[in-house]
Amino acid sequence: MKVQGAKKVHYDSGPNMTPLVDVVMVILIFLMLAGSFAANQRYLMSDIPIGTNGSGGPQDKPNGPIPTRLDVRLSQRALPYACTIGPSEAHNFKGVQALFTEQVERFKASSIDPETVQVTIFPTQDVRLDNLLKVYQAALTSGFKKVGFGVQQ
Amino acid sequence: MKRHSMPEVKEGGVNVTPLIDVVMCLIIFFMLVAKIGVTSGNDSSITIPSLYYGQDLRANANLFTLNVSHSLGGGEGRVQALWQGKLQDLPIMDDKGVPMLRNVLTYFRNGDPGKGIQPNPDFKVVIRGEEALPFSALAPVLVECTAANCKAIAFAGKPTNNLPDETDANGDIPTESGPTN
Repeated sequence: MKVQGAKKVHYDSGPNMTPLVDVVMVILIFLMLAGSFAANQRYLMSDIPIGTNGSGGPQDKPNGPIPTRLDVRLSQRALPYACTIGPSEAHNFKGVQALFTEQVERFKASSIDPETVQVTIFPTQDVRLDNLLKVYQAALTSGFKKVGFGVQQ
Repeated sequence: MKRHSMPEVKEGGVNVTPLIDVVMCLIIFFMLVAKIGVTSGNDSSITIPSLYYGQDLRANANLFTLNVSHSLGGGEGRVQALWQGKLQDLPIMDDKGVPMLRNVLTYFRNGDPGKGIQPNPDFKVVIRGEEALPFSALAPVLVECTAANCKAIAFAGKPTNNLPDETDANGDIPTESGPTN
């Protein structure tokens, strides 16, 4: 039986690219693993950080229109929290959101743009940050833009 | 006269040139967008709250992160920030009565004319607070930010697609809401 060998001799032209490809692939995998690309944090912006319950508070522009205020009380006297707007109270995000939406409709009925309304959240000293931010988010998702915090004095 | 010609070139294996082209493009892309060795002053030991609503802040040059935890007890918060190249405590009032936090914030916000550093009206403070942080510990930090003329404050949180309070401890959706007595 005749054994057939390679019929043609192969010649490699140019430099050997295999080590280059190996190194480049290692660098590529390192960069893909070590880099942080997706946003791992989200931010709630507040332009008016804090005010007081008295005569102080956010400084308005001189001679500018007096902003309409909406005061929100927040405490831990109920679980997980108790949020009071006027005579109404809610204890969860959807309930608080409903209260804010009600206020938005009320302002619109009075021809007041809700985005100009200064919402001030007055938390008690024991209110947790996560509960504070839930109420904050409820205000923003309901249509208010100017949300800040107040210190009860 | 016998003429010698070049031997016929036969390439063995696959052509890797397009692969190298693509891989080089990917490497350049990742080198440009990856933030390796760049720290924003986040204290990873702090468990931050989840945020359903919020935005991304890309302009990191104008951000100053304050890590606020409640490890000191007694209602007082502990503020840590990346200052002078390392993560260190920035007490609201240090042992000598110097308002350290306010001074640092004022430096970033108003600049330093002596060193030729211009005021930065776009300066933003990012507060990374513990989710269980009481407001008694947060309020002094907010007061210092206001005193340092920092009008823009952002609260950092973990992105989530779930509505807050979507389920209670029993897995039920709480619905109680209504007028107070």
